[in-house]
Amino acid sequence: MDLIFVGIIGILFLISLIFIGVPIAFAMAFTGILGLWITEGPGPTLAHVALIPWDHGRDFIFVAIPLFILMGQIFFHAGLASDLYESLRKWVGRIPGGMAIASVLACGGFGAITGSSIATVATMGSIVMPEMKKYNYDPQLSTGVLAASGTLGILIPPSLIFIFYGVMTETSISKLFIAGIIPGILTIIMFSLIILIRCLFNPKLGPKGPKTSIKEKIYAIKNLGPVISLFVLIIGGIYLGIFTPTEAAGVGCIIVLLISLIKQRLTKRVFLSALKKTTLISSMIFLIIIGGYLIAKFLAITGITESIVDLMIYSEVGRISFLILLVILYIILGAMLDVLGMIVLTIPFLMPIIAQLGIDPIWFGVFVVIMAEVGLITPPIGANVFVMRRVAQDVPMSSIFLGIIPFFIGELFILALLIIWPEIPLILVNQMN
Amino acid sequence: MILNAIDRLSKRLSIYLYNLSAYLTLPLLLFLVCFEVIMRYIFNTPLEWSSDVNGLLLLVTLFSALPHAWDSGYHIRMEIFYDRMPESKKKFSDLLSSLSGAIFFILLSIQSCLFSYYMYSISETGEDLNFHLWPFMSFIGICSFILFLRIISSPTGANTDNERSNRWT
Repeated sequence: MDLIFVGIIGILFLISLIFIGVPIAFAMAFTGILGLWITEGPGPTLAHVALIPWDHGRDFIFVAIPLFILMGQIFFHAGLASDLYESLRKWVGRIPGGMAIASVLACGGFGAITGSSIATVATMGSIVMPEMKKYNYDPQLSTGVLAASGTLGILIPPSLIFIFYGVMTETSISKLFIAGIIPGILTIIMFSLIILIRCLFNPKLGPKGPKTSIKEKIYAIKNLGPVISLFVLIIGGIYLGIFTPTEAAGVGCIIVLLISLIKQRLTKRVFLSALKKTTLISSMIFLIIIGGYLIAKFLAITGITESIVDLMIYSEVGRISFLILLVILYIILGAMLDVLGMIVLTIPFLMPIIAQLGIDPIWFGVFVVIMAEVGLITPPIGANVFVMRRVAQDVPMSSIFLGIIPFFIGELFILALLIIWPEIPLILVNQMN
Repeated sequence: MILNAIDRLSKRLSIYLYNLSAYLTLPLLLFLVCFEVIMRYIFNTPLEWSSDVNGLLLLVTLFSALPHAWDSGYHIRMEIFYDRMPESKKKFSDLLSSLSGAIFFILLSIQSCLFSYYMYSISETGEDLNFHLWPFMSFIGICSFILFLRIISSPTGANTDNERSNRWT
């Protein structure tokens, strides 16, 4: 049987399993095993089944995954997010839509540490929503801004999705982290501007918050210190080549533990909950990666990825047309799939094509993460919207989705900027030590 | 009757393993990574064996938690379709899920045992650490087998909305 035909059947089989509701990791592993069995026979297949988890499960770079998750989980369970928001609100709360802008900034900071958009929306939502309600913020704006800002966590380093992408594609995670900084800042500025402009034109959307004295503002900086110092230490350490991402994650965990201890938020329950969640999340991610490797191995043997590359060359699809096609593809996938699933399913096919088109894999990592952000707020799945709905139960789902639209457009605008000027995320990368 | 016994036993084992990863190997991993940084930068004495040990600790952490992750509903699926399926189709989906998972983990379990024997016979050790590797390969086999038992005794794992919603938070 023609190997490419086997590959096509394999892909269709995988898609069917996923649509039927089989867990993505199982679907990929099973399809990979079946495909390898048919193409290579039982002996090599069984060897791959054991050697892939054995080799990748001991990979030093993989250690970064549980440690970054642990850092985020401790920060989350210790409840350090409220200090962050309070401090930011004192600085920007008086400008039109100030509380919403403070929540964008706080989501950026909190999300950067937890690396999880769901945790960001759930935590910041429960802290910020009551405040915004108290000051008569428009529910559409407040829920929309929180659901959209929650996505910042996966773009601003250290980001779990960057590690995931780096492991899958064997791209430098340090460079991916640094590449995420400028697009992350641009997204924060974009979201803040959207709020400010809307509230300037319609002040009822986001009334001014309470007055804060200079003394209070200066005092508030104290609470921003831990997050800023953590970010500077991790990213600065990676940027200057002092730490590998794994070491930065370990040091980050210790710093968060110390901050929680100093703030008297570190209890036995907090630490144990963080440890328990971390092991479960890490093992789930690990299994997805193993499934991804098995299916990638099978596809490589069939030669189907080369055929797709040849097809792209034959049809003379240029860089921009290809990226626009990908934007559409990711919006569709994002509407149905989880971020990890979306990446693991597409990367084995896309990496050879982007190499052929001369697209930088670091740049592409940023592109994929921004698309994942878009997916998190795209109906009907839009995971962040569902979490937001649970936090603000009196706001209809349709209102949250309507509230997200300006931010969705903002994300696409950032994406367009990156496509037109691909050097934007690479400015800092090119100056790395 | 037998299935119930398998269910009880495998569940108990999966919780032991989960506790091992959460309370022992993960904290050890964190400690070792930081200890290595301290030794390298403060005492100028990098630990050559740390990479090997970190890798093995990671392996134990990840595999120990896998069986309990099944019971806790941590496996990502296309929930938008699954949640809207009628009961009969859901059962079919669960059957396929458990079948695909069971096949993968039983094969992994068998092959790990075969590789363990081979590693034992050639006395394979780590790159920088003179430490036998076969017990760790066997550990993969044991964890995979326990997960296989969990899958066949509890084919649906945890699929309720509530369980899934707590995945990250």
